[in-house]
Amino acid sequence: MLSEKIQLDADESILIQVRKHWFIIMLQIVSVVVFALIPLAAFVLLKYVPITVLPISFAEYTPVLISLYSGWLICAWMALFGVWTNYYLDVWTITNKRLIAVDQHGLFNRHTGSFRLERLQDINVTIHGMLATLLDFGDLHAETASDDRDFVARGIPKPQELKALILSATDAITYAQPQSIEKSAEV
Amino acid sequence: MGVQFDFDAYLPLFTEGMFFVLLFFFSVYGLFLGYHWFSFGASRHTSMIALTTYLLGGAVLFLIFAAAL
Repeated sequence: MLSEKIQLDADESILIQVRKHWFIIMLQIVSVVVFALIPLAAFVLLKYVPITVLPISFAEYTPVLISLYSGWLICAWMALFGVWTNYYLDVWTITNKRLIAVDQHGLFNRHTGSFRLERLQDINVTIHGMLATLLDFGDLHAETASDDRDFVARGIPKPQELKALILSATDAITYAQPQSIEKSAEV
Repeated sequence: MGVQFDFDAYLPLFTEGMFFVLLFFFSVYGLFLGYHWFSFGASRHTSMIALTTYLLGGAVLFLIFAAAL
């Protein structure tokens, strides 16, 4: 499991695990449901076409049509779980020491990155649009001292609260370090 | 003298073939999903529920498919 792979330090604890906002996954689920209903809608529309125009009779091919529609629904069912997998595995884990970001793009495309909170330089929140404002979700952009990569979490819920949590955890580390240095200097 | 293609004769063969091709892809995709959920998922319990739902829902759809063949 993910928690076994992260390998936390002895004094490290997970503060929060964040996934995308429910609205993001709901949009994707609705698109899959619409995809699943397309043949049904086409069938209903074809019922209004005069029987003389159509080359075949639907009543004659009912078992075949049911088979084909079941196959279509199986494809939609698989797509639905693909969408859910992307949602489930795309997660930001914030501990009292690190930020671990797992970006899942499709089944065989994932990127895992982490940085220690003391390396955090800047953190920005972007909220685009009316729905994002009303439902309180947006993008969180964390810049680190490293040039390699910035960390961006898209469509996460309550980004301002998450920013505050990350900043307070960073402050706790930053202000704890001088004390520990002073203590070691005294010894 | 032209050759007449008998659409109705090949239809059962096509649907049966589609059934087995879909069954193959569904099983392989299920294996991939299960591997990802149990390897990278946050909770074993959630992964187990997801896999059970995937298999049960798929089984119902395949049964409907098979019954209509």
